[in-house]
Amino acid sequence: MPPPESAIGQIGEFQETLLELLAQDLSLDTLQNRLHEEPAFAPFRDYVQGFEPRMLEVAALLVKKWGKRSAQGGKMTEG
Amino acid sequence: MTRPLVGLSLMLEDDFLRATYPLFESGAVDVLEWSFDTGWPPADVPKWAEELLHFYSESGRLFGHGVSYSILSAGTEDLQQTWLQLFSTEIDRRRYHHISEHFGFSSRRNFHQSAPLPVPLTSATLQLGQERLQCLAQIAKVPVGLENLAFAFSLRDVLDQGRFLDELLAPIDGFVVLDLHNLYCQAMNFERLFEDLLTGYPLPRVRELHIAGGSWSQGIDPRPVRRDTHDGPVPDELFSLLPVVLRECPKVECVILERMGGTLSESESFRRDFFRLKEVVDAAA
Repeated sequence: MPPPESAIGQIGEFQETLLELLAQDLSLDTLQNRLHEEPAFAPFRDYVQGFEPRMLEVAALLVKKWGKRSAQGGKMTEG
Repeated sequence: MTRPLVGLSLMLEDDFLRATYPLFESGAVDVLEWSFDTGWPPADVPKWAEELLHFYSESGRLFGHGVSYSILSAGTEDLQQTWLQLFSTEIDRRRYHHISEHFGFSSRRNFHQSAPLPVPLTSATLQLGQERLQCLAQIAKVPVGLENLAFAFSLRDVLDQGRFLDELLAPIDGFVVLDLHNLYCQAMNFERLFEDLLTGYPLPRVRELHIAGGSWSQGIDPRPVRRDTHDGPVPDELFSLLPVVLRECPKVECVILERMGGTLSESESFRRDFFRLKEVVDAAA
């Protein structure tokens, strides 16, 4: 049985919002505040509250380095 | 145990060819791993790389390792469908011994591709990933597996990953590509023993190992973060841990040395890593 559409929608919103935030030039404080404020993270509050600040910094670095918005075929990234 | 085969992950850059040509020429490379979706249009695969792919495919020693299927992206079915169509063509074109992909999500509607990131383990994310793997397995018609992820937002990601992988792979009886440097990153970043983290993985499912080097990254926090950048030599600790891993994972068929193209200015040290890897695998077997 497939997962309910509502659950898929929540995960999708979570992922979309997370990538958009990480791609912006935000300070760590601002990034953390947005993680607490954005409605997309509300269903995953416990999970997000556990994010380590230094790992958030690295996640932002990874998305800025490897993220691309156009379809140009796959490429190697950090694993 | 049967001696695992030792191979390389194919890169398309000229420095990779320069560094590895003597290895291929002497027949030292048992198997070749190819991240086939990096070669899909509009990418240009050089003739020498096509010839290597043909040789290893015909020999039954070509291993497929996708990078952009993104099994845990939610609400992006059109992206996955496009990928699966191209994958189907790939499978018709070359013969792969098995196929693997990465744990995590790496694409969204507004992001065609990024580095893979973890998702929380929930019944919905688990079902989503299981469905995506079923689609992959139906087309692949060879064993399908997933590689463990280096990056973690928190210790929870680290501790959940072994169970997550096991439950994702169970319905297709899939295998784990255990990347030793990814596990090393998690051990370093969350101050855990490598051996302790290892026991959290479904070791009977491990069929392939990856080994690589990486680098450290430091931000505001004084504690540096280890990253799987594939741009340096393999840490000595991993060569020491490899026999332990091989002992715990009796179904390992191959060990792949990974190095990012464009980072191979020192060919000799890369080749030294390769021969050291072969020696350690021979001794362990």
